[in-house]
Amino acid sequence: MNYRVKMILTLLVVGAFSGGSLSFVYNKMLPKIEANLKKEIENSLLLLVPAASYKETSFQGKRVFVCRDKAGEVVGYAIIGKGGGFQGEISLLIALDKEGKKILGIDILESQETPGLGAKIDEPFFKKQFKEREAEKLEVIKGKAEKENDIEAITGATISSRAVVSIVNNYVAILKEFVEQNR
Amino acid sequence: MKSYIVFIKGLWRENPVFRQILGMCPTLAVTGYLSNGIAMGLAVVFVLVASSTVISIFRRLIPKQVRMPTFIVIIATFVVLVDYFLRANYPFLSKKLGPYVPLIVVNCIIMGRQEAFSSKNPVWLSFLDALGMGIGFTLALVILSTVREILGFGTLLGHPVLGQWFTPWVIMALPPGAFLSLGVILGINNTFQKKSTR
Repeated sequence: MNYRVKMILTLLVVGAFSGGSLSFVYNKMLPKIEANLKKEIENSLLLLVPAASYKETSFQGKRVFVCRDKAGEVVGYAIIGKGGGFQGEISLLIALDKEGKKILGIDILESQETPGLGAKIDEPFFKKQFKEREAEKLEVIKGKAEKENDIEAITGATISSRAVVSIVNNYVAILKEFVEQNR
Repeated sequence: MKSYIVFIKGLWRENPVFRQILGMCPTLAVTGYLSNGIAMGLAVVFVLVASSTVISIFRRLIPKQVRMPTFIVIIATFVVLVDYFLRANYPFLSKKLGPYVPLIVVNCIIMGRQEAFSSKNPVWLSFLDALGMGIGFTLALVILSTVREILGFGTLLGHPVLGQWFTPWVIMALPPGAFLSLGVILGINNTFQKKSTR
């Protein structure tokens, strides 16, 4: 056989076989992976908002959660925000209080940032900076935070810090709109 | 070549981490906790054994000119399998290992064994070679992560092993700790190996 044909044929067969078997396994595993993700969201949500129950709805194509206490009163709202990080997508959970005025906190659901540098966005010292902030536009600053809306960047991970803050800004705006409409 | 020697050489005499200094990226990056080290080691054992066996079976059919891309596709398939498996069954571990599971694709131990061994040797020997190398790699990770977890956190597999008196050396949990402990272990290992070859 012509060696060129043989080359192409080999790669074709290997590629097709690999793609086929992986899509088969992926479909088998998907329900389990999704159940894990759902549980993870639940854990993060209850960490940010002291709620007894929550209900998921969709708003402008985004996943929004309405959190209620035992008496059925709304205690807060949360949204899943996504955006580009330093390597791949970052997915966050952002919670607002019932007036939509204050950020209750954020949590990282998924990220692929550099371990040891960008991955620090998932550490408490960074996440707690967002707690109790006014739900206004936040800004990343290198060094000590001075103004009301300053967020201190992580040393060596300015891009990851900026990515998180820009996701928070974008999705806080969307969530505020949702709160306005549903109050 | 005796099959026993093919298997045993990866454990010690040609240990991929301590002798060949291959696969340094996961070795340094995921050895903060023993549980991570074991999980990464076992993931590599699976990928290495599976891809070595498959490549050895088809070694005569794969044209020389495209062997590298063919190997990589085969390796990547098994790596993605491991990634899905961990994400579905051990989400906690999967999150901790993060990008280092997909990065097994470019672990030079795996590509190295295909080039050096399984593309030229029969299936049974390739299987043993991969198993030996994989266990050798796991062994190295276990040694390194045991040292780092004990010194860096005072725990082993999450259980406290050192008493209250011990102040964890935070640096051992951070990247510099990986370099420090790997350097010391390599030094000790070299001394031993020199003595045994003399």
